[in-house]
Amino acid sequence: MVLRKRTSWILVMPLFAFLALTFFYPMFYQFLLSFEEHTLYTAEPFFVGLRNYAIVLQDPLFFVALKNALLWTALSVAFQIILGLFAALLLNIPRRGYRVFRNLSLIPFVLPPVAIAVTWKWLYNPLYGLINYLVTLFGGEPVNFLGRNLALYSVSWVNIWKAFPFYALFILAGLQSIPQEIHEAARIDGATSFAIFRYITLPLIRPLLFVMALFATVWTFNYFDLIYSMTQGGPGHTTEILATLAYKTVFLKLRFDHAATLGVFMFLINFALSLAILTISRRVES
Amino acid sequence: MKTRVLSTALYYLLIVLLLLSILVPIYWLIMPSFLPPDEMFAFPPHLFPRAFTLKNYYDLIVTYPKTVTIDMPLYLRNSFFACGIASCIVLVISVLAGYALARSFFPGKGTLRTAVILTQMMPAVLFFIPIYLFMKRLGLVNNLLALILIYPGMVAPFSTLISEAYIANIPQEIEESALLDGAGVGTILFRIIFPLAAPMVVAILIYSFVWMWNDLVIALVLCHANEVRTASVGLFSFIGAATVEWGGLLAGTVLCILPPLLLFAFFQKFIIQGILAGSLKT
Repeated sequence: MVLRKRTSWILVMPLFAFLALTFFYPMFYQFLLSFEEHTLYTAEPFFVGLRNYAIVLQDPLFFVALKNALLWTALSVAFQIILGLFAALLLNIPRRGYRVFRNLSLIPFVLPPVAIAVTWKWLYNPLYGLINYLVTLFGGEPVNFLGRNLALYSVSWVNIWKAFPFYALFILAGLQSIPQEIHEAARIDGATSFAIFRYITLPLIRPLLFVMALFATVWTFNYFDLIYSMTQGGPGHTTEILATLAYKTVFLKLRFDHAATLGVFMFLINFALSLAILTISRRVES
Repeated sequence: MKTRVLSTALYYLLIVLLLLSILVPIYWLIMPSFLPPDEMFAFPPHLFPRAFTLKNYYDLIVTYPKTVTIDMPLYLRNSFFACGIASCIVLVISVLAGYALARSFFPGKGTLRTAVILTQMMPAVLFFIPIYLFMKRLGLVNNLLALILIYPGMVAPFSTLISEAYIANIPQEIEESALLDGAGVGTILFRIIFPLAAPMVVAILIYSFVWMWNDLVIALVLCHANEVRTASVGLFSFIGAATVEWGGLLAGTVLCILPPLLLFAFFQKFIIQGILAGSLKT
């Protein structure tokens, strides 16, 4: 209202220019790349139709990475929200402890993923790690947490550890916006704590949980930094997700075209996952 | 009565477990970085330090740059430089755009807002290939300028939404009377909006800086040569280096976590309030 049309457009232009550089142009170019032959050694990229798509779909590693990415996403998101919800319910009881938690809850979330990776590799270390010390203390054999069988679960746990306090903070804010009178009325009518949670609290915060699940899913599915600095996709591709596979396709195989095709697939899968979560949330809420 | 005592005990037990689960890993990073090797690898480990040394930090800062070409001080400087400049760009572009979105109706405003929110949903890693090829054509791979050009667009969608919400809450009367006195948009922005929105300015700067400081994938793709590594890329190259001891690696990690940790320690109250206020509005 204060501003004229032309002034508004001039003010928005710089943002638009930077978004064009990081999103609009790359999105378009990536799509184009997936229909071309383009490697480090191609002098002139040329059109090859759907060949890159056929090659990517025939690669067994694509399906290994897809399966890992889905498992890693499902585990991370589910437990981030479940643990977050659990912590938030606990802290919603008005006692001491809330403030301390609130002040600490952001720490894991703001640390560099590479630093978190070093910390947990050190904790998981089979020879002198703290966790294996605790395992042996209780009479167990030292466990190779980053070995073939457990690596994907171990890195998922680190991802859960990193984000659940952050989600707890959000859920806690949601819980505290529920008027206290509703709970008191239910209690007077003789409802148990579990019934209050199941029939009053949960329905009221469910929309918030769905929004968080949506964002967490998109972020986690493509979350390269943590998994790559912990295991680099290994051992033996057991923690390879599509993002790490695309990175290796560029920098180890030097195939820009195949990597771009992987990128298009990731984009489509993100879209499908978001759509699925939105549909479920709409079903549940109506 | 008995059940009440029990439930109080259970409550505190769970709270303590929760707090320990956050704190112990961080303690177990920082504490051993000050230990000599024999203490560090003691098994069973000593939960509290029995010795103290700065040798790990000395190795990291003085010895490694000369012997194994892993130069953490340089990587930290690179990060401060690139993330600092890019954060200032984020501040300018998102306050300009946020001001326009908050204070006017213009055709395409709704579309623009949707585009901004959509880009927020799209993770950086999706587009690293075209970005890499584009920067290669410009000859900017392994140049910190590439990060300064790419980072702002990744962070600005979120900070634009924040600044729009914040500016919308500032009463318009002051600006209107300034307009009547003949002030231009530039004067209004720098004399009125920036001072009034000082908390938001700090929040945007911190958010962008920490986001960029923590990024691995974009920096790894665009700046992997030794002289232009950022702190995260430098630390990552450490993990693979066989010549490096755990002591140096842990010390380097502590240096990498210090800037985000200190920024949040100082400005935390108000960042948490900002996040929660924003989340409750939506």
